[in-house]
Amino acid sequence: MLTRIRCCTRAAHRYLSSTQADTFDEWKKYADESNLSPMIGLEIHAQINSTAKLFSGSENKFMAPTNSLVSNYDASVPGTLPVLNKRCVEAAVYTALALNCKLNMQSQFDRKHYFYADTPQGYQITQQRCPIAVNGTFSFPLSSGKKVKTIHIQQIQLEQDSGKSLHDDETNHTYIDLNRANVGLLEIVTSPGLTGAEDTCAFVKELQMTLQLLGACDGKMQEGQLRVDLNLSMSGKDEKPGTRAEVKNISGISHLKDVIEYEIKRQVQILNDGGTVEQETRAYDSVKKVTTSMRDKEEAQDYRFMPEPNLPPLTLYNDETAPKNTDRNFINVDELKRKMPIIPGRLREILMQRHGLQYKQAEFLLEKQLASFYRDVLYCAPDLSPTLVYNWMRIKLVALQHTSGFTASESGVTAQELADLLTMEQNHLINQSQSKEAFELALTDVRSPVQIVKDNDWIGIIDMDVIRGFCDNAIAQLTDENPDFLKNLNQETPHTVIVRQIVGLVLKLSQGKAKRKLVTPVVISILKDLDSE
Amino acid sequence: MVSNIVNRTAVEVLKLLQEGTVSLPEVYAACTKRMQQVKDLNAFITTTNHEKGQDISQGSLAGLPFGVKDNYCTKGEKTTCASNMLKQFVPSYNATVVEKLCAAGGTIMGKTNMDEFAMGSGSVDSAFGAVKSPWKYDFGKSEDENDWYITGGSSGGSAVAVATGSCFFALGSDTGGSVRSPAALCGTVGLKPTYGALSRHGLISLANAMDTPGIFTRSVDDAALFFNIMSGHDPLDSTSAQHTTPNVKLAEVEKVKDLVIGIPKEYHGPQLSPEILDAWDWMAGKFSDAGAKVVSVSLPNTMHSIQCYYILSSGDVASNMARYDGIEFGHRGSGSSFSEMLADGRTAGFGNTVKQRILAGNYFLLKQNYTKYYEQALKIRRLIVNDFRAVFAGNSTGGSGVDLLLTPVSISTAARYSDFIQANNRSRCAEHDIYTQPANMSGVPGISVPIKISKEGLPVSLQLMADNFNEQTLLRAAKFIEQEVAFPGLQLDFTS
Repeated sequence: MLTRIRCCTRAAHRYLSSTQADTFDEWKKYADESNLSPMIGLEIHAQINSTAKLFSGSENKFMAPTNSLVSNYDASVPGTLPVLNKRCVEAAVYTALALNCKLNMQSQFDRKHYFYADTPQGYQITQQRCPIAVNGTFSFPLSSGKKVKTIHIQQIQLEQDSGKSLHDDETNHTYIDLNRANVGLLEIVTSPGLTGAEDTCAFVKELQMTLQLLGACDGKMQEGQLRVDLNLSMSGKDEKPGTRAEVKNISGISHLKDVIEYEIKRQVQILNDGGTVEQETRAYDSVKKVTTSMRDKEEAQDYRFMPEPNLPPLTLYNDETAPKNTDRNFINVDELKRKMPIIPGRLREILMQRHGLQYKQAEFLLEKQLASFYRDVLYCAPDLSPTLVYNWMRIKLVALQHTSGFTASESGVTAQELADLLTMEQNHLINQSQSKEAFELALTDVRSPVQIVKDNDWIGIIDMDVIRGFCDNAIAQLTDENPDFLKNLNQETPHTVIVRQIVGLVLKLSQGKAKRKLVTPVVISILKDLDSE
Repeated sequence: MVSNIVNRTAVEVLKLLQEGTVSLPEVYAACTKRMQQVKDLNAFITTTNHEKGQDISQGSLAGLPFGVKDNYCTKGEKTTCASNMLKQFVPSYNATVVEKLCAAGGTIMGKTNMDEFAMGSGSVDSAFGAVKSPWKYDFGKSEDENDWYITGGSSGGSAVAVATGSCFFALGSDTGGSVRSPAALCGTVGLKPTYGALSRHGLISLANAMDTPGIFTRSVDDAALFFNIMSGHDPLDSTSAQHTTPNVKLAEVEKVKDLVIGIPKEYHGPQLSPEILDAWDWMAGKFSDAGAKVVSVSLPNTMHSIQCYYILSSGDVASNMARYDGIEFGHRGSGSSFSEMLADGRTAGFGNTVKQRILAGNYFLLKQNYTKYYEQALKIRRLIVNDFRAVFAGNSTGGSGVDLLLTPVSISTAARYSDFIQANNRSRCAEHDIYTQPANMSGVPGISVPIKISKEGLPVSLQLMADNFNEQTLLRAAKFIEQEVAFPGLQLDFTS
């Protein structure tokens, strides 16, 4: 295998000897010409979105004061035992279903031993021998939705997160924060079927959205909720993969791209110089944008895996096997299938085909985690204009999300309530700023937005005769004040300033009850009539 | 004032307390006095303040004092596992079984001595010194002058506490025989219930899949009483049995004519002492005389059990001991890096036996050895479980249809310390656990019942084993033995 790669690199070497390669694109080109292509596999650690930790009742929260969320079990106090959190298993089952995996109806936990200051047990409980799910496939869009790629998922396993070490270089002290210790993780392992930064980043993005939609993981990479370990090797075309290097703990899509480009460049360079890539673990330095060898694993580590004796095998049930007449906590996969949220791939399809959104628009809603809310609103009110709802969400809701930091599911406003509110806007009973204000008030109010509109007496006039009356009055008043008011009227199209003035007065006279959208066409038609007289 | 309170059973004392014949302070005073008298035996690592018990005579146990092996977490009381590694460990919670006993009105008299982390069969490998058997101990002589006998282990302190009357019952833990063996050598009743019947939460792990909370008592009725208080599902222990274990109910006089007693032929070893063999034969005859059917049965995989037990328990030890980094409690190491500090702390904090087992366990768990040793041992363990299933299964399903197995507990009566320490801990355990660890490998309940006093003047005991969760039949037959043998118990005389 080694010799083959050397053969492959010779071409690159010849090419390079006459050229100074610098940018990634140049290196990519050499790699292509020398038949070297990257093979990338990922191990993704997704923190499970659960109120309690994986094996203890302590709270799972980001940015809490250090060591404030630590139970006796999390701190490995002798005598304590793990008790599996059902919610974490549900998250794993949902994920396995979304990733089309084969669920192991009976899976097992194992201990993986290593001494590390922030792993107080001296081992991590994980699923090595028989994980909860194996052998799946996951499809994701590439090139702005023009292509779809499918990757093989090797396995999904449940495991504990570790605590955090905080180093103080000045005093040479290490402090340990166990808030994160024993938080549930889903480790998702892919086959090395990815080939570069584009597909890798697209995959992670789609997976992130999927986990978010499933409620399995909040997916905030900057908070460490989704961490990527990347295995990258260069292989000759149709040849076996070369030696891989592993880059650990990449916590951002843009970092991921940088790491891949850096590693490709680094490995091609080594092979080009006739060297061999070392099998090692590397860390990414996001400031210098380089990967560096961690050098703490020069010998392959033996984790001395053994079955976790404090936990019975994890059994899943289906409709047929579910225990009857029992209050025992068990997981029925069929029940979860019925409750399963729609995954991004399907949701994208619905948004584009049924509601006529563009790929980019659908993508925008998916990224902002508004896609299912959008779909639900239109489901509640099929007469609503998809564009109106999209624009309302894109501008108003995203702004509100930004200022108050809620997600659609946390807002407390149901899809039906928003549908009712937007129907009022579509029918000109309220205007855009009123709908926004009503929604905003409803976030902190038990009342629905529509109720708030009613209570505030915001519902406008839709009787066109009344509106016409207001318009006539306004024109009369303005002409009284300035007899030349209508003189500037353009023959072809009424001057917008004049229209705006009249409309403004109508709104004022009606105390806001006549809506601009209804008044404007009336004013225009009146002016047209006046003009033609 | 009732005399000899400390020689009474728990059931008897509860009756006296109820009648008002004796008061709780009198009971404490008697136990405390006895504790002082037998202090040289080193049964307790920590003694608690007994005065506090005066107010808590509530509950079915009415304030009755009991001992707790020092590997059960006790809230606010040091829990050392007889190791320097945990010498400063004061838990913030009670183990579930301790909690249940306290809730029923029991009062903790003290934390009892043991082999470090419960690894041993003599109770001589403790960071706080060896436990000595009260049998044939000359309290007139100094410790050094005594050529004393060992208690068996690892729960030797609890056995001594109950045998001497320092308390009326005591918690032990039984992973390979650590309750039944010291009970046998010290002449008390020692019950190891079915795995999963009693919660392990708060019991500091040795070998998780075999660790079983157990009880030392002076009678079988006492054992039933405390078993009933402690059994039941515990949501804090995922391996505790989901179903509720029915309470054991014993008759005034137990008859056994409906029972089939199996005598496993593999338990006849060449090492077995003639006196124990005689007692075994004699007891089998008693069962037969009482109308029970006594049959010879086979547990063919017994011979492999001790080796497999050693491999599996060492693996668990290596893993369970990994959390002792000397940072949170007990001995703290020094060094310029985390690894150095850890190595230093563990080197100094653990005794030799613990270190040897960690080393062995890690060896068995190495990637290149796992299949060869650990996985193989797991498979043989399955065969051992099947042996027991087959013996207890009815004739109609191809089984032997026995209700109980009658076997020795140990190959001999207690050894003198001077003889005992000739062999190393590992081979001592291999010898002493030979009859007890199969029950841990298979999970079945077992009980050690004293039979007689040997010519040398030491207790001779036998073991009964029953099918999983059949403590009812186990204790019925144990009570029958108790009534047949009328074992005199330890009689200590401090009047002279």
